[in-house]
Amino acid sequence: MMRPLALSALAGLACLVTGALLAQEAPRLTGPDPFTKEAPAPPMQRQVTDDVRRKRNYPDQPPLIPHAIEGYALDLNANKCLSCHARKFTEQSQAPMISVTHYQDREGNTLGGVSPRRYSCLSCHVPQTGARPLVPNTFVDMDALVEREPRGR
Amino acid sequence: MVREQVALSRRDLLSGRAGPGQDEGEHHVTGLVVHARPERLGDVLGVLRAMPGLDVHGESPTGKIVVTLETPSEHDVVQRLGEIGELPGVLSTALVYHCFE
Amino acid sequence: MDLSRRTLLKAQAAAAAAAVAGVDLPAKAQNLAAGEDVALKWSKAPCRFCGTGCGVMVGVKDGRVVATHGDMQAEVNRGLNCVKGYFLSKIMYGADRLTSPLMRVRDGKFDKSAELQPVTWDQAFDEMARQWKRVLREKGPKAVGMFGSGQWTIFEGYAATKLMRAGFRSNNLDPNARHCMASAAVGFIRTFGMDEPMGCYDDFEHADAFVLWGSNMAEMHPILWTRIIDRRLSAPHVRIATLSTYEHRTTDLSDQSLIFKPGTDLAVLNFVANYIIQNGAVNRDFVERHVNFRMANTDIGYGLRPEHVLEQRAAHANEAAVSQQSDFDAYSRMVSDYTLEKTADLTGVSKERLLTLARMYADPKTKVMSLWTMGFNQHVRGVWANHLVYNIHLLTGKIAEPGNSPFSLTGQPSACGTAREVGTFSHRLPADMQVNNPEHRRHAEEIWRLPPGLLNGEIGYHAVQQDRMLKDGKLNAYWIMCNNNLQTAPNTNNETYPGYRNPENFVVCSDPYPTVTAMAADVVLPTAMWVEKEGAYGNAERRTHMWHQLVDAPGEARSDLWQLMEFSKRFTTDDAWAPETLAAHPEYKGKSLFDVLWRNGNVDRFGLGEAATDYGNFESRQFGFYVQKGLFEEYAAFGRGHGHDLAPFERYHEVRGLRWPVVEGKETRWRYREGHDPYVEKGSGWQFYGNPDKRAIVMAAPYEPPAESPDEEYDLWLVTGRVLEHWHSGSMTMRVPELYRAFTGAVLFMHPDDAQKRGLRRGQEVRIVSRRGEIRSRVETRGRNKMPVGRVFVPFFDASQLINKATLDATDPISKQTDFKKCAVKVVGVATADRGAE
Repeated sequence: MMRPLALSALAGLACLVTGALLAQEAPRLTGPDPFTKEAPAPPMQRQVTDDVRRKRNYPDQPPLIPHAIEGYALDLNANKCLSCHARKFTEQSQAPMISVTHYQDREGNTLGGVSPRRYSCLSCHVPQTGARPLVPNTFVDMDALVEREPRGR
Repeated sequence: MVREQVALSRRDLLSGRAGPGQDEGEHHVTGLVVHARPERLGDVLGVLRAMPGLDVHGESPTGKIVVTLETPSEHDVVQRLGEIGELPGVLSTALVYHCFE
Repeated sequence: MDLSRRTLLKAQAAAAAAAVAGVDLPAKAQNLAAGEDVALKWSKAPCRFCGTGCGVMVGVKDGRVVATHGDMQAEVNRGLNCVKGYFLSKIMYGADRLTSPLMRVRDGKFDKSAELQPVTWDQAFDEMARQWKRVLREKGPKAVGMFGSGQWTIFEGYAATKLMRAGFRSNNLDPNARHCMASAAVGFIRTFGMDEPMGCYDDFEHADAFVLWGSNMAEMHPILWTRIIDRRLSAPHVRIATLSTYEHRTTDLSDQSLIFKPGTDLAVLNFVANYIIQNGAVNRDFVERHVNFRMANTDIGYGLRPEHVLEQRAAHANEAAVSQQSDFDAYSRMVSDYTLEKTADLTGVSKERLLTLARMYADPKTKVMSLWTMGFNQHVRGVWANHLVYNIHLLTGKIAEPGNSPFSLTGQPSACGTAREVGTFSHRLPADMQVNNPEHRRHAEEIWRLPPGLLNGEIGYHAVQQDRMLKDGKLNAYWIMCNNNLQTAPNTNNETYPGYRNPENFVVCSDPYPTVTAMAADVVLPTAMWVEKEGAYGNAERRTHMWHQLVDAPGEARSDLWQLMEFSKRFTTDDAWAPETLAAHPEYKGKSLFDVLWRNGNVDRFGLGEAATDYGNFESRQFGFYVQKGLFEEYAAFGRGHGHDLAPFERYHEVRGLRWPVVEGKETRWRYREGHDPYVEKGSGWQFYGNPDKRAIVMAAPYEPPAESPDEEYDLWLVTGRVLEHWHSGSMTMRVPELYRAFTGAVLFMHPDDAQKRGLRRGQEVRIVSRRGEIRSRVETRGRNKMPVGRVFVPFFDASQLINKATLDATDPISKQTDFKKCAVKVVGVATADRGAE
C-alpha cells in the first residue's frame, strides 16, 4: 500500500469570505475597536529570505525579492543589486538576469548596458515578510480562466 | 471504515454533474506513472482507459504510461493505486503528483 | 471544485508524471493553450494611484482584470510602473469588498446607536433624503456638507459640485485635496492668477539641476524619479540636491542632501533669494517686465480654533491672506536678513551646502527644476513656501521654459483634474473661479441654466473646519466620498471622531471597502472602483486622461457618479431652494433636482449611441444618456477660451491624455511662454495672463516657527508621511498580499541614539504620545528612513496605528491645509514589551 506524497503545489486557493469582515478581525484595515482604544502593535515581521522564486501573478509582474537586502547600497556610487543581477555578472552569481526590458530606453531602443531609468530597483521589486494577508484576495490567475480541456464535440 | 468507491465517469465530470459524495467538498487529483511490461502495453492501456475517473495522457515504448486519477478522497487514491498495481502486466505504479481541495 | 480548475489540475498532474516518466505528451495534453483561450482584451487607463499619472494597459478576461503593465505609448512613463502600479490587478479583489449598502438600524428604523446592517439602496437613499431634508428645513444649506476627493473622476467631482452648489446651495464641499495641495493651489493663484504648473514633465529631460524641496520622490513619485535618475546618469554635469528633515531613499541618490530643522525651509529659500540679489544674479530685464512685488502680512497664526492662545496672540490671524504692494528694494531689504551665517545657524545646514545650492540657482546657464509636494504644502506656512520658491525662479527668470521649472508635484491622481480644475473646494467654482465673486457666480448660473442669484456667495467650511463644525453640531448631514478621513484627518480623537459620532449628525460614507471611516459612519454605500466605471483624471502636468469601464462592479456596488445623480432624484427645488427664488422664477418650482442638474438639455444632450459599443457604461445605461460626455462638455464650457481649454471629449478616449490648454487640437507644454502657449502675444516673451497686468508676483514673507515645537516633556519632532508600497490610508494596498507583505504595518523610525537614551531596542513596542492622543507602534532604528536625533517618522497607512490621533490640527491660515509634518511627541516603552523583533 502506497502512502501518497503531499505534493500539493496548488493548495492555496483563496477561500471566499461572504459578507464584510468585522472590525475586530483586522485592526490594520478597520482600526481599533472601539476607535478610541489603542491597539497593541504586533511584533515586527521578519523578511522571507529563502531564495525561493514565487510564481508571478501574471507575466508582467516584477518578481519579488526572495533574499535579504539589508544594507545593500543603492546610491549614486553603487548599486548592489546589479552586482549580481546585471547580465555580465550572472554566470558568477547564478542570480536571475534582469529582464531585457531593463536594457531599453524610453523609446524602446536596446542600449549597450543597463538603462539608467531602471537604476532604482526598489521602486518595483520588493521583499516580503512572512505575514499572513489581512484579508484573502480573490484575484484570479489568468491560467485558471483559460480552458485547457478540449471541448467535446 | 471503508468508504464506498464512487464511480465517477468522465461524462459526469464534463457535464458538471456531481456524483454522490462529490458535494462534500473534497476532490483529489493525482498524477501517476504506471510501468507496464512493454509486451503487455496494449492490454494494460485498454484496461486503464476503461477505468472510471482515470485518464491516460501518453505512453512510451518502454512501457511507461502517464495517467491522472480523480477521486473523492485520499482513501480512494490509495485503493485505486493498489488495484492498478495488481493488474496483469503492470510492474509498478508511482505517485508523482497529488493535489486536493 | 469547478470544471476549469479540475482541468487545470489534471493537466498539471499529467505534466508532472510525464516529466518523471520521460514521456512526451501530445500537445493537447500539455500546458499550452492557444488561440481564443489566451486572448486578453487590453485597454488603456491611468494608474489608480499617485499624481504622476502613469499610463497602464489593463488586461481583462472573462470579466476580470488579470494583468496590467506600464503603457509604452504613454509619454509620462513609457512602459514603467512602480510596485503599486504593478499590482493594480489586485486592488479591486479584496475579499471584504462592500457589495451591499449598510445602515445602522434597530427595529426597522435608523438608529445611530445600532450596528450596521445590510439594507437596499432605496432604504439607504430614503433615509439619507429624509435626513437631508430635515436638516435643510431646520438649519438651511449651511448644515449640510460633503467631503470629496482628489481621487474622484472629473465627472464625479463636477457632479458633486453641481449637486452641492446648484442643488443644495451649499459651499460646504471640500476635497481631501485640501490636506494635500491647497497650499500649492493658493500659491499658484496668488502668484500667477491661475492654478497649476506652467511647465511639464518634459522639463526632466532638459534640466541641468534638480532641487527637491522636502520631497521624497524615490518613494512618492517613483516614475518621475526614474526620469530624474535617467537624466542624472546620462549627462555627467547634472546634479540633484535634496532638502529634507531626514535622510531617505531620495537623499541616498542625491549629490547633495541638505538636512534642515523642521520649518526652516523658509529661511533656506530666503537665503537663496538673498544670495541671488547680493551676487548680481537677478535677471533685471525679466523682473522689470514681468514681475510685481508684494509684502505679506506676518504673524498670521496657525489656523487653530479661534479661542486657541496661539490664534489670540497672532497679530494678523484674521488677515492672513492680506498683502501690501511693495517694490524690489523693500523686498531686497527683507531678504537681506537671511545671511549665510544666520541661515546656517537657524537651519542646521552647513554653509558649504547652502552656497552650492544657491549657486545652482544663481548661475544663469544652469537650468533648474525645483520640485516639491507635501514638505512644502503640509506646512503652517505652506503658501509662503510656495511663494518663496517662485520668488527664486522669478528673480532669475528661470521659468516657463524647458528645464527651468518650478514644478509643484501633485499627490493624488486627480487633485488637479478634479479637485482643483473642477473646483470642488469650499471657495471655488470650475476653471479657477471663486464663489464669492458675483461675476463668477453669474457665469456659472448661466452655464448651469439656473435662476440668477441662486448660487451661494459665502465660502463654505474647509476640511479641518468641517470636522470642527461636525463636533460642534453645526454641520449635521454629511457625505464622505472616496476618502478615509477618520484615518487621515489631524487630531482625529478630539475633532473628527467626536464629529462623526455626534448624535446630532448623520454621516454617510461611500467606499469600496470597510475602512475606519466606514465603520464609524451611519450609512455605508458600496462603491465601484477604478475601471469598474468610465472615468477621467488630470495629473500633475495638466494631462487629462480617460478610461472606459472594463469590468463590472461587484454585487450592488455603484460608482460615486451614479450615487450623486441617483440621490438627486429624491429632491425637488421646493426641498432645496429658497422660496423667494422660486417665487421669482416659478418655472423652476417643483422640479426634480435630477432634471435641473442633469436633464437640463445640456448634460443629457448626448445619446447612448455616442458611447463605445465594446465597453460597458453602467451609469449611462441607467440614466438613458451618455452621462460622462454630457458632464464633461458642460464643464469644458467654463474653461475653453479662458486658458483652461480642454479638447473634445472623444479625443481623450483616443490618445494617452492631453495637456491643457488644448487649442486647435494642440496641447500646451509650457504655459505663459511665447512660442509654446497660444495665449501669449507675439513679442512679449512671457505673459502671466492669469493676472490683469500679466505680471507674476514676488511675495516677501519671512521665516516663522511651526505651531508646536518639541519641549521638555514632548521632546521629539513627529513627521508623518507615506512609504512606497502603500497608498495613503492603505485601504487598497493593504488588501494586496504582496504589498502588505512588502511593508507589513507601520513602524516608528528613530535614531538609534534616541532609542538608547530612552531604554528602547529595535522592535520594541512603544507608545507615541502627544498632547492630543497616542498610539502604539514598534521602534525601527534601521531601514529606509534615517532620522536625525530628535526627529521621528511614522507612516499613516496602518489603521491599527492611527498616528493622526497624535497630530495637531494646525493649518496654513491662508490655504487651510494641515501641517502633518511638525508636532511634538514623546516616545516611551510599553510596560510589558516583547523582546526585540520576532
